[in-house]
Amino acid sequence: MPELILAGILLLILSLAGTPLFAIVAAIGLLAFHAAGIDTAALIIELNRLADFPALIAIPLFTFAGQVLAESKAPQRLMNLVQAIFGWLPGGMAVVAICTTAVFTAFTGASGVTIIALGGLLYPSLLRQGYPENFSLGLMTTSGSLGLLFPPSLPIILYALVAKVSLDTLFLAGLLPGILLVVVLSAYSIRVGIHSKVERIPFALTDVWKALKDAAWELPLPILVIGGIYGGVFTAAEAAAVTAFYALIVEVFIRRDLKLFGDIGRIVRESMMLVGAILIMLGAALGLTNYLIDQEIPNALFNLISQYVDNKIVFLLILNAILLGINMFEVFSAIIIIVPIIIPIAMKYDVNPIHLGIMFLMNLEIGYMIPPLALNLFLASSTFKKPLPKIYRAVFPFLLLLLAVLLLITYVPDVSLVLTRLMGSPL
Amino acid sequence: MIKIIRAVDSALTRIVNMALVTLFGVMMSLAFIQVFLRYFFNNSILWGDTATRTLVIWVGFLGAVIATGENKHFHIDVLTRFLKKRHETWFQSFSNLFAAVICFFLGQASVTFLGLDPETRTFLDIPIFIVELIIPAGFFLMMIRFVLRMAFNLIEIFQSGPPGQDMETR
Repeated sequence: MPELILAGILLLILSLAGTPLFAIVAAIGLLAFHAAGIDTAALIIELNRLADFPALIAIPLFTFAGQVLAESKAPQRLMNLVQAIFGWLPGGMAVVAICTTAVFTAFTGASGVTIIALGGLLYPSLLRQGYPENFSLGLMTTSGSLGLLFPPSLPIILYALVAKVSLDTLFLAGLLPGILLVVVLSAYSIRVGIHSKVERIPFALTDVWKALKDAAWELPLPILVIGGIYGGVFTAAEAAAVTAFYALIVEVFIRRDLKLFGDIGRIVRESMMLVGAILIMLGAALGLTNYLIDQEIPNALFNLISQYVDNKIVFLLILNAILLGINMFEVFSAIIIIVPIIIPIAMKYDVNPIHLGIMFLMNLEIGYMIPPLALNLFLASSTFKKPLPKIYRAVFPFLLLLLAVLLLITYVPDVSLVLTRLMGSPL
Repeated sequence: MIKIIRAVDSALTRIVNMALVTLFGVMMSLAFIQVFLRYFFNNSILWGDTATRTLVIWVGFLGAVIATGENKHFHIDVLTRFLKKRHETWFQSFSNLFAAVICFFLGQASVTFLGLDPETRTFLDIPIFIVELIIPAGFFLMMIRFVLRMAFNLIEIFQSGPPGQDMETR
């Protein structure tokens, strides 16, 4: 027993000191299998099972497509278009920022790229139009993870894979909560816009037409992905194949924003590093989590928890608090390790796994901006050259709004489930 | 000595890079051709889906090998953020050693795993252990890279000369 505690402390220190998490998890798996007298090759059998997951290919292809789009001038064109359409609203520029970053984050998978890629574009525009500095900072920091609930965001795909739920259903379930989030933030922005008397830009149909023509090649993409998946024309894996191929052709051969030999190789490398990190983490964790489930650890946990918590609402509340704390550190690993353990417990509390997924992803979205340690706060601080405490203050009202939406999503399952029921999707 | 380590490191990077980009290209094209055939000709390559899924594993492992060289694996560094550079490097070298050891054990387990099933054949009649070869290969390549990173850490600690930074920034 003392050895076990010692090993635990050692692993904890290692994991907090920057050791790759897959190595920590694999170490625990190797030890557990060894102690149970199971050949460690069983870990690899689980890893190899990854290849049986039909939507697995969506991960590399969407990640690649997102990176291609991010590095092209598509974000600029998207912003121009949204601005031409919504710019005339009070708080128009802020709404533009929200919509643009939401689409962008959905495609790039919330790795914080949004703040770096679009922050430099949007933040100065917001200030120039007369929005308060704190509001603009807070909005841009929040926008780093906004859009995570829309397809084809990587965390959704990963959740579906780990939780063994239908990816297409999960995409559908994320739609309303995602829109709700955009609407709530937009409403707040419009209020701030009116309050600080931001000058409004007149609406001009010619601008819309020009921006539409400019973005004509990229416009089919969201329609293809969202319409294709929601309309049941494509599965997620097929949509990924078409999106990756289309994005490559458009940005390299038609718009010529990227060079086939100069840029694409680098983009493949960059995006596949993320995919590799995810795959290895998955591989390392699958064996361990399956072992824990075999040992009925979730059951034991449930029995323990149910002594103190006997209703669903309190359980979800506690779960939210724990998830927010964990997500502050590492988001992807949190999904991979925690989801398989939590799902059986949540099922006992009669929580629908799709609903749980949306709740989980919403937690994750907020986890990206929770002071003091979350990733997006650091990114915003370095991108906009502002001290961290200032970012903490700026993010605060947005955090409250997001938490309010989280509570709504948690306690009204229908926000997530109504569409899936209407479409008759498998749950 | 340092030169040799760097040469090994960059040669490894270049080979893995080339393999990665090539396999990714094949994977993407194959996936697209499948969709194309399915929607326009109501047909598809019989072994296509299995092959693309296998390629995802290959591409993923090669990506992971590259991620090892650039410290892109998921990690938490709250502790080292508050440390002095020199102490941080000590921690890093130990982390890298630990990860290398774990990769070795995982590689060993993968070799055992391959031995479990020497007969079965998969798409295009390829023996399945050939397509699964990437698993031990990936873990051992990662092990080598973790060892190289540790070597760079140690060089940085014991020499006040130029640190092995270019591994991070390249």
